[in-house]
This record gives sequence, C-alpha cells and structure tokens, in this order.
Amino acid sequence: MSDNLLRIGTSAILANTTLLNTTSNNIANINTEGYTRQRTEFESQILGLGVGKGTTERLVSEFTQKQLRRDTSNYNFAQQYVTEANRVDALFSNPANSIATGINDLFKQFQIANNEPATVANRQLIIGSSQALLDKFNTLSSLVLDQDNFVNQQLDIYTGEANAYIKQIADLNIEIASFGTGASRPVPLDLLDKRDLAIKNLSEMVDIRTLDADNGEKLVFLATGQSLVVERGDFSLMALRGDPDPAERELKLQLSSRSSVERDIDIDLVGGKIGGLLSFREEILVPTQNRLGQLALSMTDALNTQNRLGMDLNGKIGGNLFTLPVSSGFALSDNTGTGNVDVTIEPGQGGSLPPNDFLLTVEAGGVRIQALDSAGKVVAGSDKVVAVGGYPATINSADAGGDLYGLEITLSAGLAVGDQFELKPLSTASRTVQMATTRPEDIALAAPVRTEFTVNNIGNAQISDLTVTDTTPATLPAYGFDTPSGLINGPWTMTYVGGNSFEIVDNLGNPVATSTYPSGQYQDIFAQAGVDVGFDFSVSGVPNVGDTFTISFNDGGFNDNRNGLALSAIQTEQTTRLNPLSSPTGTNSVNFNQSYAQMVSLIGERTSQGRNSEAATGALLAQTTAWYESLSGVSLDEEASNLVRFQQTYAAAARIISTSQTVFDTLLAAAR
Amino acid sequence: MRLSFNMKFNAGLDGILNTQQKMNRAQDQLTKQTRILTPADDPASSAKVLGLDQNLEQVSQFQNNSVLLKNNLALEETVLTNMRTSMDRVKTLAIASGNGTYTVAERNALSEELKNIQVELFDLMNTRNSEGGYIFSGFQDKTPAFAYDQASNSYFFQGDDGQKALQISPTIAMPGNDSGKKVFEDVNARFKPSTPVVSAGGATAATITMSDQSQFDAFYRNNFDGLPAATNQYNVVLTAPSNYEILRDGVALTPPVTGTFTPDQPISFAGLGITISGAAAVPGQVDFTLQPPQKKNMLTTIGDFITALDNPNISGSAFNEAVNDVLTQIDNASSNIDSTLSAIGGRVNVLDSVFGTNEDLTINNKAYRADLSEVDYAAAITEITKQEIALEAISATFTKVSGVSLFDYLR
Repeated sequence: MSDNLLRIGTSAILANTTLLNTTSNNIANINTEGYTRQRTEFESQILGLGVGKGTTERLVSEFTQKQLRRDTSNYNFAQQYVTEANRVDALFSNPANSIATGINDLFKQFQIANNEPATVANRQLIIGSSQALLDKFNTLSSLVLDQDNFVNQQLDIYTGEANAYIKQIADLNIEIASFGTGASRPVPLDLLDKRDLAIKNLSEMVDIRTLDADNGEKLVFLATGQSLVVERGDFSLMALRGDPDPAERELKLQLSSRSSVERDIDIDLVGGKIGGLLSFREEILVPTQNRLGQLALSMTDALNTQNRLGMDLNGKIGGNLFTLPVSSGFALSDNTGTGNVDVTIEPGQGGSLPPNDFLLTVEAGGVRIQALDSAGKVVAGSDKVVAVGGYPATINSADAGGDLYGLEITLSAGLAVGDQFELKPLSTASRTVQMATTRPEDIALAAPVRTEFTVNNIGNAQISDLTVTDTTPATLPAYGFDTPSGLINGPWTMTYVGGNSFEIVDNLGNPVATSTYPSGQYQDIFAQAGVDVGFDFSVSGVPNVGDTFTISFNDGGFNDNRNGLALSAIQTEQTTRLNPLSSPTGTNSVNFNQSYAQMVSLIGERTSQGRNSEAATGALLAQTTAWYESLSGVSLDEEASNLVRFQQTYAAAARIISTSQTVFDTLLAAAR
Repeated sequence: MRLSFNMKFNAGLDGILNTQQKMNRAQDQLTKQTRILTPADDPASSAKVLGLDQNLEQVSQFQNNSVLLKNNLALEETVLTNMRTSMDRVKTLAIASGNGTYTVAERNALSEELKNIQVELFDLMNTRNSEGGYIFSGFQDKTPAFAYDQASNSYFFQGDDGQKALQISPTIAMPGNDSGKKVFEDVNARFKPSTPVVSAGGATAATITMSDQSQFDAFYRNNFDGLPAATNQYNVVLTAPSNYEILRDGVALTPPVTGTFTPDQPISFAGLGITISGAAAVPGQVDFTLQPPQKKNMLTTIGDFITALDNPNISGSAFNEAVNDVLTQIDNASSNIDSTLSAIGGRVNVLDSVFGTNEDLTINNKAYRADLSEVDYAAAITEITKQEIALEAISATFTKVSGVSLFDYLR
C-alpha cells in the first residue's frame, strides 16, 4: 500500500514540478518575441497508479495565426504606403514649393511688363520669375526623384530581409522535419515558435499563404500562388535593375538552387511592405513625376510658341525662351537592332502631350507608338502607327495625322523590326528644362506686324483683329516674315478697289493677295484670299473705293504689348492634355493651374485613401491580435494563480510521500 | 475574453499615442492657421484653394492694371479738355479776324496770340506720361507724336496707329491710349472744288464760291470716287440760247441738272455757287473737279491761318477763304476730340464697373477660400481641450489598470 502511495506521490511531485516549470517558463518568456503560452497536460495512469506522463504544448490556433499574418500583411502594406505618401503629400503642402505660386507670379510679371512693354526692368522680372519657376520645378522633381531612389533602396533592404526570413523558415523546416512525427521524440516547442515568428516577419514584407506538409514542414507561398518555401528548399526574392529603365527596379523570383531561373511577379498582388512601396511608386510617384514633367513641358512650349510669334525689344522676331530637353528612349534588352531613339517635344505641340510614358515598336514599314499607364501597361486604343520610309528618320505630328502626343521622335539607322523602346520624355523633364535666354530684351511683347490706315482715306475702315500664326516657317515663303526681321518686300499696301474686294501689293507693286467678299464682312483677309503669310487681320468699318492701308513690320513699335497680352492669356488657356485617348481639346484639356491642382488633389486623395486603409487595417490587426493574444498570450495574473495552485498541489504531493512514510513507520512500529 | 499581459500595456499605450497625435494636429492647425495641413486632409478643397489663389492673384493684378489705366485715361482726358478750350479761343479769334475793319497791327496781334496757342497745342499733343512715353504716339512712344517740317511749314505725325491695351478682367483688354493719328491727324481739310477752267466757249471768267459748306460736304462724300480719277470731273455745259447742264465726266447726272443760264448769276449746285462771266460764254463749257480728300491737323491749320494773317497783301477773298478754312477745320478737329473724349468717358465707365465687379469677386473668393481652408479657432481650441482631458483620463486609468497585479498580493 505504502509502495503505491510512494509511487503515486513521486509521480505527483514530478508532475507538479513540470507544471511549475511550465508556469515559470511562461513568466520568464513574457517579453520574448514570438513566444506562445504553453500548457502541460497529464493523463492519469491506469489502475490508479498516480499521474502519467505529461505533454507540454503550445496554445495556438492555426486559423487565428493565418488571420494574423494576413492582417499583418495588409496593415504593413497600408502603413508603408502612407509613410511614403505622407512625405510627398507634405512636399506639396509646403507653399514655398508650390508650382501654382510660381506660375501665378510669372504671369503677374507678364502683366506688369505689358503695362510698360519697353521697360527693361519689368522684363528682367519675367526672366527672374521664369528662373524661379524652373527652380521650383527642379526642386520638386528632385525631391520626388529622391523618393524614387529611396524606394529603390528600401526595395533592396526589404527583399534582403524577406530573403533572410525565407531562408530561416526553410532551415527551421529541415530541422523540425528531422525530429519526425513520432511521439517519442517531440519537436522542441521553441523551434515552432521561431518558425512562426519568421513566417509572421515575412508576412510583414509580403502577403503570404501557408500550407502544412505531412512531415511537419510549413510551405510558404506568395498571395499569387508562387512558391517561396518548398519542401526541403526555398526561393529568393530579387530586386533587379529594371528593363528597360534601370531606375525602376523590378521584383523577380529566383530558385535558390538554380539561380538562372527567374520568374516575374505580379506586383499588384505582392502586399506587405514591399507591395506598399511598389504601389506607392505606381500610384503616386510615377504619376506625380510625369505630371510635373508634363506641366513643365506644356507650359514652356506654350510660352516658347507664343514668344516666337512676337517681336522682341531688338526689333527681331522672337525666339525660344526655354530650351526643352531631348531624352533617349530606353531600349528593351531583347532588341536585336543597334539603333536608338531620341525624343523631344515638337515645337508648338506641347498641348498634345498627355501625362504618359510611351512604347515605341518598330514594325515593318513604320513604327507604332502606344501610351503607357503608370504601371507600364499599354493604354488600349492609344496606338499611333506612323509609316516610315527608311531610317534614320524624324517623325512628328505631321506624319501622324496631326497628333503624335506632341512628340518629335528621331529614329536612328540600325533599327530592326520588332525592336521596342520605352520613351519617357516626362520623367526628367521638370529637372532639365532650361532658360534659353536670360536677356530681358528677348521677351517678345510686341506683335511683329503694324497695320495703318492712310490718313487721307475717305471711308472710316480700320484694320482690326491681327492674329499672328507663323513667324518662322520652315522654308521661306514667297510672302511672309523674313528672318530675322521684316516682311518680305515690305511694306505692303492694301487698297479697297470696290466690289467688296481688297488688293494687296508689295512695295514693288507685285500682287500679294486679292480678297473678295460676297458679303460686306471683311473677316480674315489673307485666309479669304487663300494665301498664308503667317498672319491675318480683318477690316472693320466701311471703306471707300481707293482707301489704302499699309502693312509693315512693326519697326520701333516697342510700346506694343499685343503679343504680351497673348503671352499672359496663356495662363488661363487649356494647354495641358488629360488623357491620350481623345484629342487635346475641350474637355480633355485644362489650364496650368487646374493641371497642378489635379496633381495635388490626386496626391492628397491617394494619401487620404492610404490613411483610411491604414486606420482600417490597423483596427483589424488590433482585433486579430487581441484574438490571438487571448489564446496565445501570457497573462501574469493567470500565471500567478497557477503558481499558487501548483505550489499547493506540490505541497499536497509531498504530503502523500510523507504520509506513505508515516504509514510505513506505523506498520514497522506495529510489527515490533 | 482572456486579456494577456501584453494587451493590457499595448491598449493603454496606443490610447495615449493616439490622443497625443490628435492634440498635436489641432495645435498644428492653430499655429499654421489652416484647416488643411496637407492636401490629403481635404484633397478636393486643396485643389479649389489653388484655383482660388490663382483667381485672387489675377484679380489683384487686374486691379493694379485698372488703376494704371485710369490714370492714363485721366491724363489723356485732361490734355484733350485743355486743348478744347484753346481751340475755342482759336475759333473766336478767327471769327474776330473776319471783321473787315481790322488794321494790320490788329491782325498781327491776333497772329501773335495764335502763335502762342499753336505752341501750347503742339506741347499738349506731345504730352508725355510719367514713364516719359509720348501718349499720342501709338506704339512708338519714344518718338514725339508730332514734329514740324520747315520745308512745307506743316506739322506731321510720326507715331503709328497702335493702341496699347491693358487687361482688366480675364476677357477685357482695354485700350489706355489713343493714337494722335486718329485724334488729331484724321481731320478733313475743308472740301473744296478745284478752280474752274473754261474749256470751251468765250467765257471771260469762272469762279466757284461756297454757299453751303455742309451741303457740299454731303455731296462730296457721296460722289467722290478715287478710282478712276476722271469720274471726279464735272462739266458745266452751256447751250444756246441760255441753258446749262451739269455733267459728270461728260455723262448726264441722274436726275439731270439743268437750268437757265444768266451770265454773272451764280448757278447753284450742291452748295456751290458757279459764276460764269462774259456774254459770249454760250455755247461753252466750264470744268471743275472734286479734289482728292486732304487731312490737316490743327497745328497746320493754325499755321496756315497765321501765314494769311501775317500777309499784309492778301486779297479780301483769299483771306475769306483762309477764315473759312480755319473755322471748318477747327470745327472738324474739335468734333474729333469731342468724340475721343466721349470714348474715354465710355471706357472709364466700363473700367469703373469692372473694377467694382472685381472688388466683389475678390471679397467672394476670399470668403470662399476662408470657408474652405481657414482654421475654425473655436473648434481647434475645443479639440485641444477635449484631447487634453482624454489624455489625463487615459494616463490615470493606465497606471490603475497596469498597476494591479496578483503578484502584489502574494506574500
């Protein structure tokens, strides 16, 4: 009997010691990351011979864990996105960086200069404001570029971390599998904890799914289904230099044992911090950089174009105020040809430029140009096919039915059919536009044409509504503007010859144009005559037969601000194109300020969405964490009560042994 | 639900951090005095604010332009009004000089006064603005509007037609000057027929006098034809026994102009009195032409008149012509200036009304902008106070909740 008592007592002492150990272990590991609460359970031994062998297990629910990983991925995705987005958002909230202020300031200077067109000091202010605006473009664009570089660096760091976790999981898998599944040699619980921690850490980087293998290994997949950890092996994530643009890093998957095998990853579904970075790049960074570039290019081109239609303070036809950059197309790595492609903005076509990158494909007999969205995918329906007779060649809107997205593309020799190039005229534009001149005299505020009625006219007709369309034609026409100043064979004389008819002759008496109107509305004299001299005007009032008018170059007309008024009107003209699909007119174009406001509100809107989803996923994660902790977390109060409880049961077990001693002593004494 | 040790601490900590964040935000709003700290706080409003900023900036520039424009117009108005006074004086003097009893000395006195007026008018026509530009020179504002030509003893315009416009609203660009060519130079010289020529018959003399200038002016305007020049010739054909008919370049007028001719009796035609002398004039023909129109600015007109006044040997009729010339031409010039003055008045009216509209627009836009972006002080301060109380509450409860441990009670 006492024999049994002793055996039962001993088993109880051992069991309670184990229980106390487990409890103490729980307390000891309360601040250990990844530790899950353990519990030891016992079975009673058959035949009433005390307590049996106990098993210590982790209190963990696989389902909750999966939920936790998913929510961790989502939260980290949103958090990474918002962290990055907040930085851009803050950049654009700073009034000192505001492009809008810069634009307003520049056009204000134009207005002031228009008040006294001949004053050099006012013109100098335009030059100053232009430079300040370009500086702002440069600053903003550089800051955005810094973000881009930062994203690339982060991507390297995060893929490095993710790879470390993948490796860790694979190693732990092998170690755990070596214990087998037998009850005799149970897997050490801390190995399982370590593996779960590594998986959770990995889920911070990317969105993952897990699957249990028969031998105790855990297989890990990306949300897209591609394997990261397979049985007895693993893959690596790779952040590679982009193709074709090396500055845009791409994510690939590589088998660790066979590094030559690379697989693409659908970056939209990556999730986690890495996915957050990629999404931020696609949704905010690239569109912002492109829109900044678009704004810089369309604005400087519009100002250039209008300035070329005026006369500067040297009495010459105006030139460019800004130099627009030429950028090289990025060749795709599998191109077979040796040629290359350069792209710039076709003068006067900046308003046709959408905020997109482009893909150029060399085809038999021509090239195809397609707009790309910010994720680098072709925008369906945006194809422009241009026939090219032979290379080298330069193509622009004239070759593409009037709209080649404002681009002027130079194709070199050596292009092979099937070669592709990515054209990114916008990505660096806002940093590379420069002043073409810093001389205040070069701003062309005056119109280049002077029209005068002859004072002896009897009728009261006057020339009105001068419009200048082309002062620098590619080839010198028979009649029009001369270079660098003057009208060819000017001044010209226009005579009203009666019968609603005007005759224009040059200073040698040669006819320039004859314009006859069926009605008495003398609109657009040269257009009516079917002659293009680069400008046009109308006649208002009633001319008398024999009335004459003089049309000459505006020599000395420095107080003229007509072209200046046209320059300042650009501020509210619709000059930036919204999308590549419809033509750049009407609803598809906005003015500079609207364009910038749209960019700012786009950033604000996406940041705000990001903040909302951060809050939402954060709340979900908190809930899931509470759920997980409620099962797997250690509660000190519970352990305290367990400690007391097991102490008491330990004391009781000890009492069994002392009772058995007493019983045995009693028996001995009785036998004495 | 089981509450683990970590959860207890995390919940308290999160609460404190969140509340601090909210408090910080309200404080930022107050210090930066804006409700929208970054575009993400209210994307739609921040886009609108950018648009409103542009409008405000533009309108303020338009207002500056308006003030400048108004100054320019006021200057021009003052100059023209002064000129009108001087021109009235010229007219008075011209009428006075018609008095046949004036002696040479008296005419000289008139001439002296006219010379002074001419200098004054010349000066006014070359008025410069505060920037030193000649206000009547059009776009050539560095060149004086009018200059004197010694050879022809006349004053000529050397600017151009230009009118410099200033933007006073997004759609209105209003001219701030008028070219001297339109105001001073585009003044018709008195319309006159040429001296008649006896081309056939025995007329001893033929003269044409102006009996009704305005009737002739109307006739001239309706009938003068620059191309071809021959159509401007008129023939007075005298036929036996004593009839006349007036033809235009040999063609009868519609309706035909005929009548009975009496030598030395004026034939009345279109405000003209055609007097043909000589009994043997019939049959015969006298021709005259409508002269191409000529413009004369007031300086030249006055100059011509001064020459007539200074000429002691001038015949009575020639002097009469000179007086008629100066009266008509000064009238023409005055009416030109008057119409310019009324045009200026019209512009100033538009300017005032646009200025008022712009002011209203600015107030509206500022109010809208304030509604969109300005911080509501009451709300922000209330928020700070609210979060302060919450922070105190959380801190107090945190120490209570986390301070309780069963281990404290195990002895």
